[in-house]
Amino acid sequence: MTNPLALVIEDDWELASIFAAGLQAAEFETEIIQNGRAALIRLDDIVPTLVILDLHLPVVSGRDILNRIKSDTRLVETKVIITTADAAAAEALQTKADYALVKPVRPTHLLKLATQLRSMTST
Amino acid sequence: MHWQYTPYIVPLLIATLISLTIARYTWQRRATLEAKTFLWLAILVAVWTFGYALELAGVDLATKIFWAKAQYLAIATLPLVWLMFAVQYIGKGAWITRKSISLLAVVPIITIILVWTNEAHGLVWKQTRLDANGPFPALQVEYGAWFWLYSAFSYLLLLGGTLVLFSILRRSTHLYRRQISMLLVGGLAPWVGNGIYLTGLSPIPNLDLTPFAFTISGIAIAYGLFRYHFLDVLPIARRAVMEGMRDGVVVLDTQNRVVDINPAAQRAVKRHSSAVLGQTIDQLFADWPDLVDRFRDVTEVVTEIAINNNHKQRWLELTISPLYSKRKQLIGRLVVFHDITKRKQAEAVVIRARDQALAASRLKSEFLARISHELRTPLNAILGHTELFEMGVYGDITDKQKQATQKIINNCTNLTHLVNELLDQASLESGKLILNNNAFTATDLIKPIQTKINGLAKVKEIKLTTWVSPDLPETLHGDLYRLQQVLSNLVGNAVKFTESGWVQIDLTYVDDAHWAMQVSDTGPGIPLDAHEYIFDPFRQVDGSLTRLHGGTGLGLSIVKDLTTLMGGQVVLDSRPGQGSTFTVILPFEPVEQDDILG
Repeated sequence: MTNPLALVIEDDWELASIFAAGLQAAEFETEIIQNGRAALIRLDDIVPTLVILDLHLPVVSGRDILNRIKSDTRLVETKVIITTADAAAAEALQTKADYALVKPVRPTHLLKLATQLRSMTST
Repeated sequence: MHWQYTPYIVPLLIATLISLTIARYTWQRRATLEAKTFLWLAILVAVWTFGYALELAGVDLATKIFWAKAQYLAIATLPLVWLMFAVQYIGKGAWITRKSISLLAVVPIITIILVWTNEAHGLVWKQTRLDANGPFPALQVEYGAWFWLYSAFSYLLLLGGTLVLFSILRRSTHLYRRQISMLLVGGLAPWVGNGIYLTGLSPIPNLDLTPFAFTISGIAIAYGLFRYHFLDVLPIARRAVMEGMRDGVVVLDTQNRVVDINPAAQRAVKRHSSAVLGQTIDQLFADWPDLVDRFRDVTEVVTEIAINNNHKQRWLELTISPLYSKRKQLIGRLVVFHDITKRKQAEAVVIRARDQALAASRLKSEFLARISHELRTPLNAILGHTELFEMGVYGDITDKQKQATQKIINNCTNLTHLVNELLDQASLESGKLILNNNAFTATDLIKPIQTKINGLAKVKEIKLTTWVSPDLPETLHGDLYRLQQVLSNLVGNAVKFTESGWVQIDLTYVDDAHWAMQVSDTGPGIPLDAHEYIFDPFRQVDGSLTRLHGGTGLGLSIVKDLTTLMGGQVVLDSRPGQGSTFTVILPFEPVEQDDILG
């Protein structure tokens, strides 16, 4: 049985790799996409268990991607954690996304949350 | 000397009494030169009327001649004193010099000498006799050559004095015009009386009406004196103020015609008063028709106006006030203008400096925001990698390494907090912080604060309690995140500064439009003088506390700025040694942000 897929959509490579490393430690398969449009195209082909979504992305914004995921019946099981430096935006989008983390995101928090969300989907 | 009673002496004695009363009144107000001269005038009139009364009462020729001579002490000098008074009254006292007085006194002195030596030469009276034909025995005289010369001279002086008073009458305001009119009545009456006597038109033969006329003079002048206080406030002083003023003054009547204009106003319109008196404001202010139209029917205004003068812009402060008669009827307008160009220029410099300072402050805020933002990216990476390291993602680590990474993480967290506060402060200062209003409950607001602060409170053994007023609505509206930030800063501070005791959070109902978040503690309290600056950025009560407790010094500044942005206010109640209570009063209805930002 393959590990569940976590898609990290984050334009900052450094951060993306930290998230990926944390998620891998929580036994996720990880994939990193650094721009919004590429993420939208990729989401046509895959059904990730978890999406780590940065709100501030080049070309297509994180909000648009969030809307796309939440309106796609194929992705109804997909959980979304948004990450943003803007705490107010995180607060505002918290109900729409499954969870919001304010940057700097602590890998321990991400790991805990990811584990929790995965257990919710697998049950 | 033999005396007899005749009713004609009664008005003369009354005139004497009036003159003496006036003299007494004037004596009490003899501070000014013209008052002293007027005092002499009154005394001389009294001497004349009293002398004439005794002349009439005298039975024999010798008695009558003696008192007729005595009267000349007044008769001969009165015209000169009258002229002196008139000249001093219009403020030209400087004209009266020792030389001019000596010169003008020659004729009166010679007259007095000639009167008293008349028996030797008959130059004043050629003949004197007792006329018993009239209603009383009268002294009848045939005048000599000197009398006519003296009379001509006296009339010239009287005329001079009267003309002098007329000259000021033309230029005087309403109040003083009445006063000077009274004075002129007083001055002209003896002329008329004297003229009637000399031309033989007197209704009672042999009775000289001149001193009787002085009764009228006395009354007229006394009326002017008591009613219009002409020795108290001199029209000339008023005139001098008007003339000397640097403000332009124009008096208009109800038809908008110029009644009076002072030199400053004449200079402003580049016209002489003689040319503009009686003109309409359209003619007077022909260069500024717009202004004339704008203020044509305005009776009361204080405003600043810009005018173009020789292609240069000048600023004037214009004051228009209504003028009312005693019966409260509008009789005209007073227009005063004051050149404020220099002040306006100075203001412009200040405004420019302020704009530059604001621009600099904005640049600083933007710079701060940018720097803070840029600082966060590497911080995220440092924190992330360190945590991964601590989690053992990069391989097993020793306990010592674990402790070190924990310290790095703590410091990074503090640094992140600092950067976030700087960013908030910068956004607040540059007006870029946008509020996100939503509905929430009291629990939504308080719970995360409790979770966040409880740890520290437990460590310090401080009791952290909360109370939500039952009359507070279940649903509140506002930016929950920012409200939490405000509350968290206040509670964080309270716990930080309190060494023992408790910290209490209250959510209360204030009035129909307001609710409040209140944070009280049993901490050291804040000295009164610090209340003023404690909300300024980077300020704490004193340096030692800053060192003792750490922090950016931005917490309370952010509390205040956020509260203001939300349309609320922060009230501080604190005394050293008695703890502190911060109350954040907020509107139930969140304000539109544009209203606050202006």
